[in-house]
Amino acid sequence: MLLLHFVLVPLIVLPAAGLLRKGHYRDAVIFVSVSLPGYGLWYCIANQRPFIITLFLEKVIKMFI
Amino acid sequence: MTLRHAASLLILLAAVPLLSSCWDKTEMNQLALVSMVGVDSDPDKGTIKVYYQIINPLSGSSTIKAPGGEQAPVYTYEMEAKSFGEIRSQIYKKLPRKLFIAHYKVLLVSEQTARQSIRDYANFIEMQPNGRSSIPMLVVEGPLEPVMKTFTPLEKVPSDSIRARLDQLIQNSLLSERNIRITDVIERMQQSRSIVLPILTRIDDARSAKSGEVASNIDAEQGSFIISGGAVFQNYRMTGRLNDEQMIWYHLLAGDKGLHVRLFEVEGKPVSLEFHLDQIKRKASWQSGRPVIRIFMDIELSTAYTSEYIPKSRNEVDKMEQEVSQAIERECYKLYELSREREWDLLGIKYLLRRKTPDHPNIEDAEKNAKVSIQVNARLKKMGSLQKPYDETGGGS
Amino acid sequence: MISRFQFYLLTINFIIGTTPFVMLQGLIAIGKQDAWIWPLLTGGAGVLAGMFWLLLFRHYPGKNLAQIPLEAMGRFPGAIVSFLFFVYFCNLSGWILRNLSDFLNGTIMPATPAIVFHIMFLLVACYTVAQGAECVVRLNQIVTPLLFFPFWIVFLLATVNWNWERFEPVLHLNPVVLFQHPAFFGFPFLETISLTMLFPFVQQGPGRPFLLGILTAAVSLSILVFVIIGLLGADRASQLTYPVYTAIQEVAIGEALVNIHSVISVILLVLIFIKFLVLVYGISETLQQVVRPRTRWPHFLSLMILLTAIAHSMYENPIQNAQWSEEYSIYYNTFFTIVIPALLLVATWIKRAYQKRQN
Repeated sequence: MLLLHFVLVPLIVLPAAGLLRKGHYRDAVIFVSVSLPGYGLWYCIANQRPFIITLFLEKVIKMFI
Repeated sequence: MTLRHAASLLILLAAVPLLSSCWDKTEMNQLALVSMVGVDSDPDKGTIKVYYQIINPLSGSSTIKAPGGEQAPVYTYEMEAKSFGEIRSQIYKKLPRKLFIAHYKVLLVSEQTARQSIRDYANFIEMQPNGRSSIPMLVVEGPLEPVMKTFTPLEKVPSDSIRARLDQLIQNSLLSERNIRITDVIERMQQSRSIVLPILTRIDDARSAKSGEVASNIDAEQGSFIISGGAVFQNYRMTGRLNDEQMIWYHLLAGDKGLHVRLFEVEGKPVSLEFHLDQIKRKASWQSGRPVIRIFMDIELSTAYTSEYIPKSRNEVDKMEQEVSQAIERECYKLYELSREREWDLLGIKYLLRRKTPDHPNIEDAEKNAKVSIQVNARLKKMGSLQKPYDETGGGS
Repeated sequence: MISRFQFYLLTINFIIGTTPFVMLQGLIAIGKQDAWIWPLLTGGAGVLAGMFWLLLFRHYPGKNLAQIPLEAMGRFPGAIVSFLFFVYFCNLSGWILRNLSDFLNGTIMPATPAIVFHIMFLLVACYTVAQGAECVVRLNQIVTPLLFFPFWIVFLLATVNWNWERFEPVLHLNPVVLFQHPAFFGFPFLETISLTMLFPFVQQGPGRPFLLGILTAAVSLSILVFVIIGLLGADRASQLTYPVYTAIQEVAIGEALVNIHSVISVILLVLIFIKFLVLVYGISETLQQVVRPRTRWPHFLSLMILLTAIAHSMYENPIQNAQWSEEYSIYYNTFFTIVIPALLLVATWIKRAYQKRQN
């Protein structure tokens, strides 16, 4: 858990801060919005309760058939 | 500029832990190279005993002579456990190096284990990513341990000795065939066919624990083992035996093209003829609910090893060819009768019908009801160095 | 710009991609000794799907899949559709990474953590894609002979174990059985919509190399299944997880070289990498078209974080994946590769009709 935060938080925050400082606001937003789902999924993986994508898709498909 | 330098340095540093061989690397001298595996079981205790014969890297001719005399070419480790999977963890109680079975050459199974079942072992080998199934499997008559702890003369590593013998037998006789590998066993058992694996028997009970003694003993038979006969397997279980004579005809009917020299009787006289199969054709059809199997074999004869009698005229050649053809047909029929009686299906009748007439309903009982006709066409094609054997009478032709 | 031949090669390698690892076992289990015919049939369906996509692309020459929804449906709804494609490509990439690490962990490198494989592939892929589409395609062209010859030479060496009897009874299976398992139509042919991201770069139009590539890939897969059946037999191959790997394991060059399967595995890995490259290009290009960012590398970093996470979260064990593939993957694939393009086509026709009426 600690390792996860140790690695991912600087990897997400530092480039985002860099982008903001350079004035690329849109880029910073995109960067964070693509990284955040990744961070969320990693959080679940590190907690040993991963969010299983195929099972989720199965539920979605079953709703429609 | 410095940012670029920093970035490139970071990437270089990052590349180091990403070298995935860090996790899966093994040094050569940490490996135990297995050359032969033996499988035995103890039904009373419900355990399996596996013997690993490991090659001793110090025993090569190029290495410096170790203090204390000659090095054994192989070391045998044995391990007993409740399942094959368990042995993989427990073997390191005795074995100081990492088991590397990718190069093993022979698998030996005790007759006791063979008669119970070898399915577990087949599953185990196939499941491992490093296990090779393309190696021959032999059945050992009697206890397995003495065979696993026997040194062989001439070929120092016993698995090399067995493999070399099998190769020679395949080429120079009909006593062994190529399809005795674990892959063949699995394929045939899954298709509900039978397979015959060679049997290893000890010649005598004397056993030497020192390879030097065996290497310097003129009697090559002492303590050694011989490949003779065959074990019939059905459904991963050994159900019977064939002797050497029956093995010849079994392999002939299976389409083996090895050369074999055998003593035939031609016009009441013994003649040693070399024969080999040129072509075999099998035809399957159904007549009033009974399968009709017709086997046609073209066999080439040679008098290269004949010292008793060599035909002199075309008539005599024709007679000899005819008698030999009939003799072979008789022997093949005898094997078929034996196979039918014991329900071994050694001719592969069910397999043939499944391939040629898959939709017919009664394939399972095919062997019992089948009408089998075997036709052999033997022709003398090659001769040896003698045109006419020397006879007893003194002078004159 | 890329030549038609380069695009043709890319199409073939993309389709073959992960197929030797993922589909073979299931295909042979159901098709048995006639399984080699099925890639030809599913490839035919793939060609039909390809023609359907080309129909859509004919209305938008010089545009790729991410730009079409923006033009056909307007800025906002188009962005949603493009976002759907973004999700589709991300999932596909995650699957590929997971298949890769499963294969390597299950065969030659069991102790290495999966993330190491993912990051390595991603680093090289992101770098390649950052150089542009031409880099991807040229890399593929250079690498193809290095893949093609060793792969088929090894199989030629393996033919000592060939047995024609393994194909009998020939053509015994009812072809209707194939239609009861529609999953085989979805993977791998419907995934080739990812290649449409590269359509604008192909000189003289992408249609012919695309369709020919699909056909050639179908024939190649058919030959591969044919060889596997001949070497291992349908019964055995259907029970092995990686039949290609096992077939190669039994190849021996003389008595000395008996362990060449690890070398051949690397060749198969490069095929996976090519497929992965195309997908990463698709993802980054979709992102570029929809949101038009001004910088490059931060987005690759965020993609790496996202894709490694997706790879780990794809499925818990291969049995789950197999069941999902068998039962639901066809709906998933059809939605993204047939339904949405059909929607776009309809939107295009409506827009054109409206414009014509206005004129």
